[in-house]
Amino acid sequence: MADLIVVDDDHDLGDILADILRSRGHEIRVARSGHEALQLVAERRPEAVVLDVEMPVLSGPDTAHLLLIRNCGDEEIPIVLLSGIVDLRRVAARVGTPYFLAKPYELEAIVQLVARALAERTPPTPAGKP
Amino acid sequence: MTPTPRLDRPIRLLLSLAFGAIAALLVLTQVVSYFRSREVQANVDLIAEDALASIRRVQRLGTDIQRQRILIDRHILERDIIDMDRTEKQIAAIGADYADTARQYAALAPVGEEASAWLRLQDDVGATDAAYRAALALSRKNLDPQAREALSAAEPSYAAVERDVDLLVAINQTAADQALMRVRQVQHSMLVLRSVLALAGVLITLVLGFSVTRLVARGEDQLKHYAGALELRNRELDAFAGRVAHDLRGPLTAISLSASRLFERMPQDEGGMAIFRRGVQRMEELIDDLLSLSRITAEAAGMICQIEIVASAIEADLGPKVTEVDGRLRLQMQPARVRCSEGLLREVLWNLGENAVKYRRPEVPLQLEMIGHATHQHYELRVSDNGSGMSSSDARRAFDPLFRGEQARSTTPGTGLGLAIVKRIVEASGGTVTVDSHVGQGTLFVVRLPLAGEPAARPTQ
Repeated sequence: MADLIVVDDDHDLGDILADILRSRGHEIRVARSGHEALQLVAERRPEAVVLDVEMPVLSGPDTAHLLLIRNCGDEEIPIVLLSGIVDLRRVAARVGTPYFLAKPYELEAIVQLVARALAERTPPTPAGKP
Repeated sequence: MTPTPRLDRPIRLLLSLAFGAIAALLVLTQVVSYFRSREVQANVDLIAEDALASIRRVQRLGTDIQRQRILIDRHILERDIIDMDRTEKQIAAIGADYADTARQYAALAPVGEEASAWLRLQDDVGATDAAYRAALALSRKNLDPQAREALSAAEPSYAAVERDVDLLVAINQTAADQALMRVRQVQHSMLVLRSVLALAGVLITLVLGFSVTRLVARGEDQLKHYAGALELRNRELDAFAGRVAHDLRGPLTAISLSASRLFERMPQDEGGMAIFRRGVQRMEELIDDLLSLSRITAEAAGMICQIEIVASAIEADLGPKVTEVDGRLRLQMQPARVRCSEGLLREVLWNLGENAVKYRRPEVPLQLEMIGHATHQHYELRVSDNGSGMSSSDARRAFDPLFRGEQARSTTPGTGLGLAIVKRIVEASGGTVTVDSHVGQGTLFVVRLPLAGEPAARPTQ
């Protein structure tokens, strides 16, 4: 199956997400911050990144932006945005990803969204600076 | 609620006293003016009656003596006894008039200088009386030269009578002048009194006006301060509620996913999973509603939307939901621009429509109507259904946050925030919402929103 990175500063949520995706046969690495995620991507480029929007220091959109400006192939990684914020649709449009899911979501919803992202592999195409 | 600043008790007392003083001054001025005017009028009448009547009578007495004198002259010239008799009758009539007028004058009871002048006049008239009788007796015998002589001898008495009459007229004139002077003095003092009272009234009014203006200005400042503080607190509360609701979503997701994972491992416990899912769903709804409630004030400010756009959107949103329960949705909204955010107005209509679906009567197909038209300054939206309705006590509290009617609590899921959101959106947009409901008949919500411009002519079905 696929090589994925799950990024969430909420340890419990990151862990349960990883557990669910592993149960679907994916190989999961978990990052607790945007910086850690960038490091993991640099170590080995994943097939998709599941990214929480609201994180301290480096937010989800900022992390996606840094992946994009590296211009070394990381910009091709599909981004799945997850968040409890009200205007998630607008944030996803800014990042330029079609894959986003509002918290709280159900298990099947995230599983299917990740599957769709892996099938389509649409890279983020931002409308402007995040 | 905005606290209303109240005036201190001593200030209220002072204001009452000051207004009372002004009223008392006005009343006092009028009362004093009325009684003084009556007094002055009475004085003027007295003077007119007394002095002027005296002058008139004294002058009449003088005239009588003069006429008597002229008639005696004529008597001396007459030769015929018939003419003499007629003249004597005229003289006697004048004598009677004199006596009558003298009685009237004496009845006015002259005093002081006037009394002595009056006595003198009577003496002098007595002297002329003796002279004219002697002259008359001589004339009757046609002893004309002697008669003229007797009359000439009485000339000083006639002159004295004339002087006495002039003196009495002058005395009465002086008395009248003095009385009029007194009247003028009274009038002047009254004018001064009225002016002083009026000035006092103006001064009190000025001081009072200044104080009241200052108090009102201070009250307004306080009110602005309270309103500002309240708005700030409301915003802080909204932000807090929004933050709490948002932060609840993370742990709720973790709970939901963990439980789902757990139930994947124990697929035999389907009932437990269903209960769990319902719980999570209710919590999700509650969080969504809390978030909606918290962002209304900021989102509603200064927004304008087209009713026809909202109408077609709500038809698309709500139509399938109503059809699903075999109901009928009738939407008839006159196009207009209203002061409300498009998203928020959709939320208002969605919440009202969703309530109609939730609280429909199972035995009757749902009839949901949303009728809108522009009135003078507002756009009126009437949302009515033929559902189970509410009791009057439930209807009174229908817009309270987290309130759910007795029946609704036991039979229908919900957060109790839907109508609170409706009310808050409508009021934040400068409008009003009312409810009229009858158990077993249905419910009517009337939403009035301010118009933002002229409504278009074509109705939208």
